[in-house]
Amino acid sequence: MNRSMEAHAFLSKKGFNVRSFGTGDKVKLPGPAPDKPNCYEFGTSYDDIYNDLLRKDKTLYTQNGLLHMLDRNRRIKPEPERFQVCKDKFDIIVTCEERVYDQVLECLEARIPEENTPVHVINIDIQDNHEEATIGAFMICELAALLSGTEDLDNDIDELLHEFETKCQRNVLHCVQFY
Amino acid sequence: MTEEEQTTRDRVVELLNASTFLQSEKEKIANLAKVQELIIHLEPLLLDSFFEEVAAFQTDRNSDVRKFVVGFIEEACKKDPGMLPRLVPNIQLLLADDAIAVVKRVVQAAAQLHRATLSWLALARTVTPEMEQVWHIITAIKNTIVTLIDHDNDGVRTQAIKFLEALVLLQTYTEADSITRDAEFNLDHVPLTVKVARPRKLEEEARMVLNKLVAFQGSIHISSVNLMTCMSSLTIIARARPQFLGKIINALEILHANLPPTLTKSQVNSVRKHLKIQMLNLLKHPASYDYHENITTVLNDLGVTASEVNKAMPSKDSIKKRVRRDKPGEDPGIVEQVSKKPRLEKEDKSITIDESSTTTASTDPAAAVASSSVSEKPSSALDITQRWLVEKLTPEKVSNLVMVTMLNLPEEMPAVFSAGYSPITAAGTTKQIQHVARLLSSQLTAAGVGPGAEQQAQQQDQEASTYEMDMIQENEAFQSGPVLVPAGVAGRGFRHKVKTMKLEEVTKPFPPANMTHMHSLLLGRLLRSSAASLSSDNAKSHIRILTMIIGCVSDLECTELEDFILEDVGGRGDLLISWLYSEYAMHHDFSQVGRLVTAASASKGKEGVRKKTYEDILGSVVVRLLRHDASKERDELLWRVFMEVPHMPDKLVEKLVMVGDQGSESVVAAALTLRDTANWRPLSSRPALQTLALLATRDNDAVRGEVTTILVEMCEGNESVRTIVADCAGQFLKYLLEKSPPKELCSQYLGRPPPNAEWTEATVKACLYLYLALLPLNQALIHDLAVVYVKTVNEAKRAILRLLEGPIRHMGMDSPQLLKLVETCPKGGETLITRIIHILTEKAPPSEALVCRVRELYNRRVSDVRFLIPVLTGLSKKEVIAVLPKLIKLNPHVVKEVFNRLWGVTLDTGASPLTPVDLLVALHLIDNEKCDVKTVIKATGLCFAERNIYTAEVLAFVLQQLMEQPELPTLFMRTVIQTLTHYPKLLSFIINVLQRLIAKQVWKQKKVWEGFIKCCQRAVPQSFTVLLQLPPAQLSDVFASAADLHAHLTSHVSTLTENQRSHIPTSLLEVIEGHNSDQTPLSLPLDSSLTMQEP
Repeated sequence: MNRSMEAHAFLSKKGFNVRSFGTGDKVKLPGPAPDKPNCYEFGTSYDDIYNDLLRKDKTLYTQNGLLHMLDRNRRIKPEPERFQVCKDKFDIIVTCEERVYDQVLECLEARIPEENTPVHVINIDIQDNHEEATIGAFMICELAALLSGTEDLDNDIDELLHEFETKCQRNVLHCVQFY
Repeated sequence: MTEEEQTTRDRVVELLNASTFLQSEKEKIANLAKVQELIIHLEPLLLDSFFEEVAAFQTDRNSDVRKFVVGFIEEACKKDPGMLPRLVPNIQLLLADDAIAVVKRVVQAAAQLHRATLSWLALARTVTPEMEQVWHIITAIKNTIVTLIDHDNDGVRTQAIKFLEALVLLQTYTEADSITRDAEFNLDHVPLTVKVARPRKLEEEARMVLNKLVAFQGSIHISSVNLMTCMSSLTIIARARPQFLGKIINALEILHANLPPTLTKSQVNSVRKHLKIQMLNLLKHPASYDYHENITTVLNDLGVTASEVNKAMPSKDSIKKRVRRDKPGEDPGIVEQVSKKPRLEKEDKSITIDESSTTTASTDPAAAVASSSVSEKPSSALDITQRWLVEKLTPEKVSNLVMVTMLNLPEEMPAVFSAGYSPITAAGTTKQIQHVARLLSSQLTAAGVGPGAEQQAQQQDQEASTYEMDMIQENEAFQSGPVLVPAGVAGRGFRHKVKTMKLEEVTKPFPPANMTHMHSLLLGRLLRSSAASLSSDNAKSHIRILTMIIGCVSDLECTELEDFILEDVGGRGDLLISWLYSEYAMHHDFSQVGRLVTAASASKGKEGVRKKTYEDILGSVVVRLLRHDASKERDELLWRVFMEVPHMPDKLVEKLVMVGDQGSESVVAAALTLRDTANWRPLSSRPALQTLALLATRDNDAVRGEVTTILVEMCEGNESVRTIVADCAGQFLKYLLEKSPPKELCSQYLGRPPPNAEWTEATVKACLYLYLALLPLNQALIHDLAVVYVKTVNEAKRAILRLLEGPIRHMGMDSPQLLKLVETCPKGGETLITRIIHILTEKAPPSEALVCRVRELYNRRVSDVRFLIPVLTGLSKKEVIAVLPKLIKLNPHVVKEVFNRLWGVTLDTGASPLTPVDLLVALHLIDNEKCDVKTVIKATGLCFAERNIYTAEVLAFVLQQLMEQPELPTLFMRTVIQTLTHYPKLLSFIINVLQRLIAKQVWKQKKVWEGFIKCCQRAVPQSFTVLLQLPPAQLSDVFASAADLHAHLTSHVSTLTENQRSHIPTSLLEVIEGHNSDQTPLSLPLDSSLTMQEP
């Protein structure tokens, strides 16, 4: 909701055809204490969440930036989406955390490919806070520009990722899956 | 035709027309997509009328449009298999498209079409010739795509892998626990009666393809994307076709131990992660029960915790169910199509585990059951090698292994190691030994060694040959039947290629031993028979053919070939060179033939495999040539080999020194070869020059001279050559600093016995030859010599001094380097410097510069006067006189040499600072304190001995000058007497001198006075006049010391006339006649008149 949406906003501004998803069972947001997160079902709209938090503790959620973030999100799309239920096909999937990468792979591996259209899954580790999310969005955008700039992605992706890795000094996980 | 259908038709026509003329590809594709939607999904009846129009777009210039057409064809064929005969040929054409994207799309579609075709065939009641034809085209496409796995483009390879995966899934039977898509079509649904596509053959083919896929996964250069695709594909296959589980898990295990070295660090991470996912997926599959141990070991290595593993394990119930099902005869009829083979394979696997680790396996009921059945099929290569290894892994051997490998450990722990290392928990247990053996076995099998790999190779050969036979039969059957033409491209002309029979497909391979034998027989025959034609006109073509053949001979045959060439050194050079070129081409993988041959021989087993490389062959040929009897032809061939072969390794160039012990002609030829090698093969120039330098130290003078001349000529022209040769020379020279002679210079090839502990003249010279030859060219080298000279042994010093003459003379005294050396003479090197200066000044007067340097050296550092001798003639008169006392103290020979120099005897030109007169005068004037009289006497003696120089006139001059000295030198009278002895004709002159001495009151100097008296004694009777001029006191003194003079003078006076007597003063007469001496002295004027009378 933070990192992916930041990247979503940034990439759509740059003209990429992009969508964003969560992979967990529920939409989880920080609560008043670490062991008391705010959980919502997928399908709850950003508006509802926003209003719910506003009602619960306006100062707290203004201070930690949640409300601001939700406000931004609701301008992009109505509600959080879950990756596992999406049947659409993508060219490239970027994840921001190894755990999410694993979940995406698990989901894709579980399907038996029909058409054999390849999709590249790439993971870049980004910490879950506002600053890192902004930097992460920049990096993802750069990666997207790099990958969309080539004629033959399947052939060049190894090199492009290596280039990206050395440039950004981040470790990247990559694998190819099929629809 | 309904109204609705009519409107749709109109719309389609409109859209198609529009898209033909549209410029923008996007709009074109959008239009076509609409058409596709209309004719496939909305009004399938229209498909038949319009498919051609859509398919015609496959010739569009834009690759996206062509890609779309592929998609259309795929959709159309899936919708209506009746389209297949019309559209499949189009696909075949599109497969050869230039655009990579199109090819990828075609491969993707081909999998679907393949499935559609097979199901079409299976469902049809009768198989029409048309169907057969479609199947054959599909087979052709299939075969093309199988080769695409080696395509240049990574993406195409990826798609090819996926196609292979689909192929395997389609052409195999399912099992009870296969995980498949709903309503998936596969071999289960193909009736046995279909003639075109025999299920047995299809299954066989699927196995081959699977092997190919496994092999591809194991290739070293695989990219990470393809590796992961391959892993997923194999996992999908394993899950869908459990009969392959064993093979695939095996392959993944091997992969785990042999990750491709080309992957970057993060790629390795991705691949390991992927492997983990695949392994977990496999673990979840109930059929994997038998491999749980293998899988969990790999997972543990990958860092998966036990709880994660347990989570992924299938439930106990399903395992139990499976075990029960596996028991033969107990629960028949569950699965009909389970093939027998794979099951047995699995049982065998359990046995392996059981055998090796009884503790774990015997507790499992499943394993116990499994082990009771008898294994029929040999286990996998991995297992065989593993078992073989377990026996070998004793603690002793392992510790030895560890000790040996310790040596190869890097200094620092690599980051990769620390990142990936997980500590071994159960070291030394049977389980762990099994695990280690498994890992090793994976690596060995991947490298193709070990008992398992050998067995496997044999098996594969058999399989491959049977498969090929089947293929041939099939192809033969394909010759008849209707020809299908691609839709929409009519008139373009599509011809199906007629497949010709290939010999290799219908013949069985020979046993390797026979083959080798036949090979060598054949080769021998070929060579003998072509011996004649090698010298004829069409030799060129002969050689070409021969080279083709001998390019692929085995090691043994190589030796035979060498023998053959060496039999006729002169005539078979062309063949040799041609052979070497083909070897080189093979070695560098330039030649297609070579690749074929190596591939063929590699699959045949060990015997055919060639171990000799180009360098080995070249090396052995050169060495054998060198050992060959020396002859002109031999030398010529050697030259050719060195000039013409594509690459000449350095160590071979160095081998050329071996000709050293052969005749001088060979040595010179070798030297010329080396020269040309250095000139024309810049890469080999250094070793060539080094070898040449070695040859230049040859013991034999004549040979050495020739070689040295060559070397020196080369040096003159080229700066870099000079540097290299100078390095060599310097190195040789430095050998002199060592305690014993170097091995390098004392080989039999250079005419010297192996070195002793002591230096001898020969060994010293060996070190010096080259150096001294180079010296005139590269004068700066002289400084090295000085350094070495100071430190080396005496034997070497002597040799250096002796050999130095020639080069130094070459350099001349104007050489700035020489002057510099003189200036900076190292301590202990004075003898060397002296020698050098001597050599320089032997034939010519010393130059100003040299004199200056020597003088400085003398004044500042070396006070040995001998230093100055060579440059004496260059010094000023004053300086010479200053050092004269020191000089004459030296050995008489040296003194003689010094005088010679001063007199200018040894030199033709050049003025000496001292004339002979000056010299003698100077000798007289030497202070007694500086030099004792005896030495001076000796020195003057030398002068007198030289009568050619010290002629009467010269001596007269000398005396004259001495007389002019304010004080008479001690030796003056001695010289006077000597002069008188040597030149009696100077008597009158001497008398004159004596008279003048009287005037100088000679009696005041005692020594001179004594000399005076002696001289008078000698000069009797002429000296009487002189005596008579002495004052009476002095005269009586004379008489006192020389009594005989008294007598002579008395008789003389008595003979005088009265008149004459009257001139003698009476006082004198009194003295003469014995009267007392106190009378008045005679007046002097009388004396003078007397002298006048006696000239």
